Amino acid sequence: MRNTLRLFTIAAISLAMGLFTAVAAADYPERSVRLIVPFGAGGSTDIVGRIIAEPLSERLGQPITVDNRGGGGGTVGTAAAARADADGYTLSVGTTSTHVIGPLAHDDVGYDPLEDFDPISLVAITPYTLVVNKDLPVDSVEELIEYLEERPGELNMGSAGVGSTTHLAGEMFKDMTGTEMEHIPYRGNAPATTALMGDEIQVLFGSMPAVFSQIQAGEIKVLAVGTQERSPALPDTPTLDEAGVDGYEAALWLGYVAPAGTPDEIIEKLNEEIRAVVESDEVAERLQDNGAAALASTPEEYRERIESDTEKYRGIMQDIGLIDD
Amino acid sequence: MELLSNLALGFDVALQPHTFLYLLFGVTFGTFVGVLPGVGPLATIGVLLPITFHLPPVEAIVMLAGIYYGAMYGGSTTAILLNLPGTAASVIVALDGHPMAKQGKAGPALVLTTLVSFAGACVAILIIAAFAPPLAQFALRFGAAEYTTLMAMALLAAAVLVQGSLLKGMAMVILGLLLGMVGQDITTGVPRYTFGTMELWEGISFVVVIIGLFGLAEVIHNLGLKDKREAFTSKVPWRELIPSLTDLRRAAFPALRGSGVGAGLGILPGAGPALATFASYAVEKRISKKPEDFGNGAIEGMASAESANNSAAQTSFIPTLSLGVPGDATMALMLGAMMIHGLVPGPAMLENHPEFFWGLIASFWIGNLLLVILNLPLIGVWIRLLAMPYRWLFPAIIMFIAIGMYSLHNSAFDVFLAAGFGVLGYIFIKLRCEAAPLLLGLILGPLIEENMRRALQLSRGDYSIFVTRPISLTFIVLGLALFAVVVYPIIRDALQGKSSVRTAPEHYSE
Amino acid sequence: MRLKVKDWSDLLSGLLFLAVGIGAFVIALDYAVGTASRMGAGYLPRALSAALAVLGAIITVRALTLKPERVDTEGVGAIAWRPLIMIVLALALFGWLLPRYGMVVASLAVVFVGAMAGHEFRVIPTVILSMILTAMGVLIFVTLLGLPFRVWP
Repeated sequence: MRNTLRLFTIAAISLAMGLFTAVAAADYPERSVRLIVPFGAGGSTDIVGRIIAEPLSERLGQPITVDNRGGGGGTVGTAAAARADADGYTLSVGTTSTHVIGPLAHDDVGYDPLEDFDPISLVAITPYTLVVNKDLPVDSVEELIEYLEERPGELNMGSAGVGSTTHLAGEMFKDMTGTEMEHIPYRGNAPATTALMGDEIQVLFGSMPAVFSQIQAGEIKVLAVGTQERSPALPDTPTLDEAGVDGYEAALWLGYVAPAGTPDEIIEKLNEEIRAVVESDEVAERLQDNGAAALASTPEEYRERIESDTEKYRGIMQDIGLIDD
Repeated sequence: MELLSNLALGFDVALQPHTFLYLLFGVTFGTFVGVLPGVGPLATIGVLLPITFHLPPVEAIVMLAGIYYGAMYGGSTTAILLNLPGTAASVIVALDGHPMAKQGKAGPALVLTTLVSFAGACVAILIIAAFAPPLAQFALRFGAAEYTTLMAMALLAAAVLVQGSLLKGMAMVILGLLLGMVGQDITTGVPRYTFGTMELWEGISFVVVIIGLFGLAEVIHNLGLKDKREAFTSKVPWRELIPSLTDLRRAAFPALRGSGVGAGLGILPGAGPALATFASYAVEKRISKKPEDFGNGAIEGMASAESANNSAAQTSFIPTLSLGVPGDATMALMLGAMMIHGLVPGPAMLENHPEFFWGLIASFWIGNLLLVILNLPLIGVWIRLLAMPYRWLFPAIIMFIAIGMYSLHNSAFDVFLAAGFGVLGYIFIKLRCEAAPLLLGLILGPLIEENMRRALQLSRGDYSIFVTRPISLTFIVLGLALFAVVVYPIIRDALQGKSSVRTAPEHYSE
Repeated sequence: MRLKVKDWSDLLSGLLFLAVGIGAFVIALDYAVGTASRMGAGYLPRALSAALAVLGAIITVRALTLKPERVDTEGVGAIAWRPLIMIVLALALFGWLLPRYGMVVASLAVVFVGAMAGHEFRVIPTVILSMILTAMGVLIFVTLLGLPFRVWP
């Protein structure tokens, strides 16, 4: 009898708590939500974050304030986001840079990408594009590989910095095709793109938003994109996989994440709303204008993505000696 | 003539009522923000960016641009009146501008900067209008080797900047170069001098250094002087606000030269207004017949610096507009803003959206004109306002600095860092070490190192790349000439102990 | 034999440069040097810090051996301890308070403590000043500029 009473009390309390959180989630959000973007305002991550935030805030009925906290290649803002209260009122934008590359490349970024965060949903993916100087006498990936094989180590390949995704994308290519190029790092995508236009470097695995306008203007030649599927922004450009480098994939994904421990109901609600936003036509179009493709997911899929990419890039970084085995 | 028809198109666009209103708002707001110590155009543009999402493209960019160069005008005001520079360029303006203010010539100083800035803008705009596309292509020919030799040349000019002990000045430059190495080494990816913090990963922001070394240190020093502090006087009758004809005459040619230098250097991505201002000041000082005046209120120095500053501010849009490549963080923001609005910068822009391009250029001119009209009457206001009792003024300054530093990355780290540099700056003042050469080293150091190593990477270790590339060779030759004509005499004088050219600026005497 | 210090400011700065130069050099030893054709991360830091240390040494020595007419009799002068400490404290407080307790508290603190750096400091006028400035600050930065600062605790 006493045990039954105890059991009943526990059940009642659990039910009440469950109802309470459900009610809380149903009322969520009751005030404005802060979105930490761990990069500077106007940058490609910031732009994508805002493209989603605007319609999302309309759907949620509350304003979403963007808090740009740049620094450390996205790690400073992400560390701050990890420490925030897990009540659903602070979210942040998680990208390949912040949740895969950053933690791999540094000894202590101040957070663990999977332990300290509850992923909500992916929102977009931007490919790395294989672009070459417009005077280079190659018009396809095959021709490039041949050209490279005839002159090992002669061509210069740029990147946005040592250990950046553009660098790793290039190393992957070299590894999978057995070619050699001299790696010349730059301070970000913009100088690398200028260098490509000026023929200081001949090859670049550029992040799409940074090179998109130059491609359209004919200033540089695009040979292929690094995503698994063709980019809607460049429908006539083959993927590297199609062009002969089997299994190649290099892309930067972005998504919304919350600090670990955020109530499941809130995560689910956010996931629903974000998917609706991402799958809408106007958002897809706005993303495309900026060189990105819309991509939604479940929280689990997002988590898996982080895990699998971490393994993949860990391998590459070990191969080129960026991190110890 | 095509130039005229382009400009006509531009003015047509820029003078539309809506556009004009946004421009007006932009420059006014920019000036206001620029006057606040510690807050610069970068934070403002970043914050206002989302608001522009809902505006039509031309209006949005015109407004943001207005904020950018409006802030430059405002920044000069604080630099001159309070010796509180907000940007690297205004550090140079303050070198002579502030002493002028202390000599009771605050009014003329401010009026002159306004006029001279406008002149700088006019020259820059003409150059942009006439040469934009070829200029952009020329900038593309600048590779790592060219940047190395150009920046190295600029470093030589640092010797001209030094007013007191040459040895100490050189040590300060080297200290600045070392400070510039804090952060991730671009070429190898290795973090240097970061002591394990991620906040220092991208290096020490030079805005923080300026605010600390020049702003906070100045305040601390002033407080230490207590009643012996020389404030600029506010009892200046209206008549004396206007610069005399002599002043105008003295300012004219330096301003012209400054705008030329500014226009030229502003085009190079990565160089920007700071470098242009330093270079122009150094050149002016060297060709002056009374170089000892520089640092003590030489109109020529201030005029040249300010006009170079504004001229470079306008031409720094060129790489952004013509190539789609931003020269610095603020330009990157503008680029982002343009992209959001579907305006793709690049050579295509001139063809596909000429009304935007020329409208923007025309708005620069109108904006600068508006700034002159707005600011001239306000000068009296600023002088009276900022001449208030220091015990009320300085806490306000501290507060604005605190907020401004925090707003850089929404992080307290920058506030602490600024405080640290404030202490360091005070030590420098006490030890009579000049901070301006350090700043030059801080700005140039990373540029020189990165480009030199990259040039060597490109040449696969062959040093001859610096002399086989024509532009680079030109800079080397110019640099050698500069050394012989400018630097060597200074060294020779210093070795012989001649102190006539080397009186320490009055700032350092108590 | 006692060395006479001819110029304190030079002596101290020389020592400062020497110390920083040596310190920076020691830290730079951890970074790969490379060669002149392929400079490593440590190449220029070592070179520069060594140069700084050498300059520092030269300046120090000269400070002890200057010709008589260059002697600087002023020395370093009084150090403004109170302003120095209070301003640093004010800024540190601000940085610590803003994320935890909001802008109002942080601004009040920074103005009040900052004002204590001045020799004309009086409590009541300063309290009023801090309230006015805080109001202005919130108005300009949060309302007008829209910076995402937390305002209240």
